[in-house]
Amino acid sequence: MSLFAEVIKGIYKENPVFRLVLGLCPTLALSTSMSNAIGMGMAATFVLVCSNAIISLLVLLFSKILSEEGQKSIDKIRIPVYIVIIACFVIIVEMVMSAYFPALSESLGIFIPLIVVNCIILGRAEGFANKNSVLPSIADGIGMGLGFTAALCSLAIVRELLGSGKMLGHAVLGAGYKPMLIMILPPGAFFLIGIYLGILNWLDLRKK
Amino acid sequence: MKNILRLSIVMTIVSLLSAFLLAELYSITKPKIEIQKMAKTMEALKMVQPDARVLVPVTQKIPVKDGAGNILFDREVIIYYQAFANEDSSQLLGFAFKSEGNGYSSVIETMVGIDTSGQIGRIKILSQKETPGLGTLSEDSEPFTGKKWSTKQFEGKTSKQLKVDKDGGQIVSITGATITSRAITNSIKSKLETLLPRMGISQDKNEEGN
Repeated sequence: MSLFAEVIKGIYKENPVFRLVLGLCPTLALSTSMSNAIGMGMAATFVLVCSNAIISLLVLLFSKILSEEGQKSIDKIRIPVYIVIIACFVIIVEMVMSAYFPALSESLGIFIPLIVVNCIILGRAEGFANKNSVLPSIADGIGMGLGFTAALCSLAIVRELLGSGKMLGHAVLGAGYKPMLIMILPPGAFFLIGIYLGILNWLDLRKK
Repeated sequence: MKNILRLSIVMTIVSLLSAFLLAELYSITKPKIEIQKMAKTMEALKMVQPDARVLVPVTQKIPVKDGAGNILFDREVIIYYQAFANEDSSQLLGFAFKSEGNGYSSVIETMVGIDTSGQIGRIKILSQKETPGLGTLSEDSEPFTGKKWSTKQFEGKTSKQLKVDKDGGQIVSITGATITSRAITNSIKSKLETLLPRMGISQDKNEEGN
């Protein structure tokens, strides 16, 4: 598969939220507004690309310096190694964000440190990066990150509009609009994810 | 044996490299993060004591203890700020302090400005993560009309008068977010009552207004 195809597949065909149904916790919590969605999406994309790159690089390195048997034996600690690498990049994101984008880091709050246990990132490390070489892994990270961001934004645009009458932080529905509060609370995200998944599945079925 | 050694070496190297990278980045970002925090505090202080030219932090040494109760070292903590109207710090305007209270879903931090008699001037909500659309309304500071919550309603109140309407007091709470309103009001009240003697304001004098 070409590198471009690796990027593209993450956006629709293997979209982490709508197709693989991974990472729903941050999706529920942070699709309340476009700025949260974009901030979270970018942070996760950065971690995803870096951890995919480093993990595939390590696998490559070990395949060069270790015997077949040695590679098999260090397989046992692959998950702790992934977690250390992912946690390292998450802390980098957290520190840089609170130093340079304090407002964003405040509104994302606890969900930035929680990227460590985001199943999209660990899933791609285990499912893709440790089986593929460096460039496809980076491409996969970019694609999955963009797919996650796109999913968050597609939810956020509806939730922000209906739930607070705003678009990208600007009031667009006028002062007379009474916000549908439930849309920015967790149930709103469940409704919307359900509707989106239904539509996507229906489209797929119709194609066949 | 050889296997265990191999596993430990790999894990150690990965952890060491990560730790080194993070330590480097920490030393770069830490001053920036401190500045951001300071700027936020300063902005809030300016809001609650708008006429102050000089703000002097009053600190207290708090002993940091280990598990066995031995004092390890003293940590200096800012307990409140003195606000002065002029550069040479001779004309005391009042004080400012931070109060914290458990709300419905978060710890609510409030910056409070008081005058030299202990009456509240302005307050500003520093941080909260309450229910969007309900508890988050606590930050609104529309002019106070007597019917709806506004942070402006705290103006002129003394510690005794700090009680939400549901508890028989005068503070109009947010409809549907009494817990949030109560948390803010009560946290200010309790902090104010512990600080008044330290600021040299007698509680009796403070209560005369009632």
